[in-house]
Amino acid sequence: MRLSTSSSKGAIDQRVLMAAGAFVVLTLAYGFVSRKIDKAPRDETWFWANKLSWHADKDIVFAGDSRVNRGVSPLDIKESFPDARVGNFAFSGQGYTEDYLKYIPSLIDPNSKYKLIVLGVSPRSLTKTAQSGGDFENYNSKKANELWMLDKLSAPNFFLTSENPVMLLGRAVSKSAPVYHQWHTPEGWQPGTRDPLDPSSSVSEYTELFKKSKVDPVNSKRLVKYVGEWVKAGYRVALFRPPIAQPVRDVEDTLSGFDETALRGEMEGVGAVWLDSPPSGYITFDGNHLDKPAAEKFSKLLGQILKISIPSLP
Amino acid sequence: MLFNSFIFLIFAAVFFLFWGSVKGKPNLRYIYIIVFSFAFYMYATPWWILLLIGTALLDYLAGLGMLHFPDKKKLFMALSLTANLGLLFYFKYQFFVGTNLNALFQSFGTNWEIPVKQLALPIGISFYTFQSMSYTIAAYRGALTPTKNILHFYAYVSLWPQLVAGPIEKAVELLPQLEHPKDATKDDIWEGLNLIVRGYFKKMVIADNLAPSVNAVYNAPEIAHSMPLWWVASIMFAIQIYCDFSGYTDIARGFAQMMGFKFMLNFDHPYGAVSVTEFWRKWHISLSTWFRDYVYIPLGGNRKGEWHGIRNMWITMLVSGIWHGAAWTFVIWGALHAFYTTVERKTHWPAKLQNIKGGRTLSAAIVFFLVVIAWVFFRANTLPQALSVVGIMLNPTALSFGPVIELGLPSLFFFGLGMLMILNHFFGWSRQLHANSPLLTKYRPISIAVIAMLCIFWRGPGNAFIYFQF
Repeated sequence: MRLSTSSSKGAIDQRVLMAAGAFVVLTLAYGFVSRKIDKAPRDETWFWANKLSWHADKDIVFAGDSRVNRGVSPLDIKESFPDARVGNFAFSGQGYTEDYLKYIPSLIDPNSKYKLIVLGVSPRSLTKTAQSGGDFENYNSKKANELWMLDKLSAPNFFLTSENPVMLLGRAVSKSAPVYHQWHTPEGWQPGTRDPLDPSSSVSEYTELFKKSKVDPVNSKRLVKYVGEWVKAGYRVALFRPPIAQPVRDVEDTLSGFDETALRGEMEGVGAVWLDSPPSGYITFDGNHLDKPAAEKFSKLLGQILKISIPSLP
Repeated sequence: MLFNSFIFLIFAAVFFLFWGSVKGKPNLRYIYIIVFSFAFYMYATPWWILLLIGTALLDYLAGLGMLHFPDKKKLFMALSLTANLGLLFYFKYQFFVGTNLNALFQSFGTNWEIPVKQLALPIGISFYTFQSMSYTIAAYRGALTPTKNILHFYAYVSLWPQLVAGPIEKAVELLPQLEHPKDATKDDIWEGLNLIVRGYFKKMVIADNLAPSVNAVYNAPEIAHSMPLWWVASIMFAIQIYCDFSGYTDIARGFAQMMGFKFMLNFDHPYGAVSVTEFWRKWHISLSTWFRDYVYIPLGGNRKGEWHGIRNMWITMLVSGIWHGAAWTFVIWGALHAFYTTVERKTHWPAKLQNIKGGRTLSAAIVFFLVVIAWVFFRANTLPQALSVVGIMLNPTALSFGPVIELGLPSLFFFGLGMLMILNHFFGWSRQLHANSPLLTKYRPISIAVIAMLCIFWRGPGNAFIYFQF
C-alpha cells in the first residue's frame, strides 16, 4: 500500500490515513474514559423511538412530564388491570402543549374496553416556559428513518453521548458529585436514582423557575378543553398531581400560581376524575422525581386508586 | 437536509462512492448532481422543489431567449427579474409590506385593507433566486454565453453543497467548472476534509453550545437590567452567527473541493476587520459582492461624487438588511451599518487610528463592538426589545454581574472558546506557531482528528443553521 502526500493518483494520502486512525483511537479513548467518570444519566435512544412508535395499541396511557416519565411503572399499574396494555407516554420537560394533547388519544386502541387516559399534572407543565415544547415535540418532529436510527443505533448513540467538558471535568474531580443511574423499559417508564439521595436539590431550581414563569391560565384552560373533548368522545380521563418532596411542594404551592382546587373543580365539571393520591411520603432522589422503588410502590397504589375511583373500569 | 445529521453523512458517502465514475461524463455528471441535489433539498420539504424547478426553468429559457433574440434581451432580463423577485416578494415580503401598509391606511382613518397571508418560507429561496438571477444578469451583460444544455443549468442552480445557504456562486465562475471539472488532487481532498472538520467544529461545538444561552436571554419574558449580561449575550450571538454561518460555508466549500470545484471564500475572519467597510469585504462575501455588482454599481456606485456614493451605499445596505428578513429590525440592522460606513467615509477614523501605537487593535475592537450593537437588532425578537437592550448595553449604571454568573461556567466556557478563536485569527497565534514549528505541521492530521473527535463529544444540542431561515 503506497502512501503519499502529493497530488499523485492511486496512492492513499498518509495525512488522511493518519487523521482517520487518530480519530478512531481518540474517539474510543475519550468515549471509554468519559463513560467511566461520567456520573450523569445517559439516554438509550431506542426508548424514545419506541414511545413514538405506539399507535392505537394501548388500553391505558399515562402522560405528563418527567415526574410521570420516571414515576409511573406500567407493569405495576397492570397489577390492578392484568389484561390491559399500559403505556407511559410522558416526556422530560413536557408541557401540555397543543400538539401533545392532540396526539395522546391516538395511542388508545379505539376498540379498547378501558380507553383510559391518565394525566400527571405538575404546575411546571402549565407554565409559559413549558409551552415551548419538550422532548415530545423534539422526537415527534423526526422523520421515520431518523427514529429508526435512534432505535437501531441506540448503543453507539449511548457511547457517543455529548457532554459539556466543564461539567464532565467537574464530576471527574469532585469526590462529592452525585452518581445517577437510570433504566429504560419498553413500556415507556424511565426510573432513576441518585447516590446520594438529595430531596432538596430541586428547591432552588424550582424557586428560580417560578420567579420567572408562573402557571399560565391559558394553558390550564386548554387542558380543560381537551379533557372535556376526550370525555365527550368516550374516553375515561383521570388526573393526579405526582408526589414530590415536601420542600418542593411548598415552593410550588406558594410561588407557581397553581390553583389545584380550581383546576380540579373544572376537570370534574367536564367529566374527568381527579385522583386523591398522597402528595408526600415517597422517597424522591432529587425532590422532584420518585426513586425507583418508590415509583414502583406508588404505581401499585395508583392502579388501586384508579380502580376504586372509576368503578366503570373493567 | 442538515449537514449536521447522520442521514447527511450517509448521503455524502453514497454521493462520493460513485462520483468518480460519473464525473468524466458530462450529461451523466449533471444528472447525478441534479438527482442528489434534489434529494438533498426534498428531504426536508418535498414540494418546495417545484418552485426551484419552475424559476430555474424560466431563467434557463430567458437565457436561451437572449441567445437567440439578442434584440429582445432586455425583455427576457425583465421577465427573469420579475419572476425571481416576485417569488421572493410573495413568500417573504408580502405579509410585512401589506401589514405595514394596512397600519398606515388605518392611521389615516381609511377602511382600505390589503389582503395578506403569512406564508412559510421555502428553504434557500433567498439564495437560489439570487444565484439564478446572477446567470441571467451575466447573460444580459454579455459576460457569459447562455448554456443550451438544460442539465448543465440545473446542475448549476441546484448544486447541493451550496443550494440552501450559499455561498452564492456567480454563473461565470461555476458554470465553466461544472462543464470542465478538474480532478480533485490529494491536496484538494485533504484541504477539503480540513475545511469540513473545521466547519463542523464551528457549528456543532461553538455555535450550538452558545445557542441555548443566547436564546434563554433574548427569549426571557422580561428584559434583564444588566449591562454585562447583554454584552455577553450579544457577543455570544455574534460568535454564534459567525460560527454557524461560516461553519456551514466551510463544510460546503470542503465538499465542493472534494468534488473538484472551487467555491468562493465567503468569510475572511470578519471580526478582525479594522473598519466597518473592511468588515463588509470579509462578511458573507458572496452576498455583499452580489449586492455590490448588481445594486451598488448599477446605481452608479461612487462615480458621481461622494454624496451620490453614500446614497447608493445606503440603498444597498438597506436592501441587504431586508434580504435577511421581513422585519424592521433587519432594516435597522442594515441602516446601522450604512450609518457606520457613512461616518467612516466622512471622518476616515480607522485610517487615522492606524497611525497610533496599538491603533490597529483598537480599531478592530471598536469595529467589533459596533457590529455587536448592530447584531442586537438582528437577533432581537421585536424592535422595542432591541431598543431596550441597546439602551441597557450603553447604560453604565446597570452594572449587575449576577445574571452573567447565572449563565453558568459550562456556557461561558464556549463563550471563551469562541473569543479565543476570534483573537487567534486576529493576532495570528496559530499561524505563527505553525510557521515556527515544522513538527506541528507534520502532525497536523492529529490535530484534525482531535477537532473531529470533539465535534462528537462536545457537540451542543442540535440546531438548524441560522441562515436556513433566509
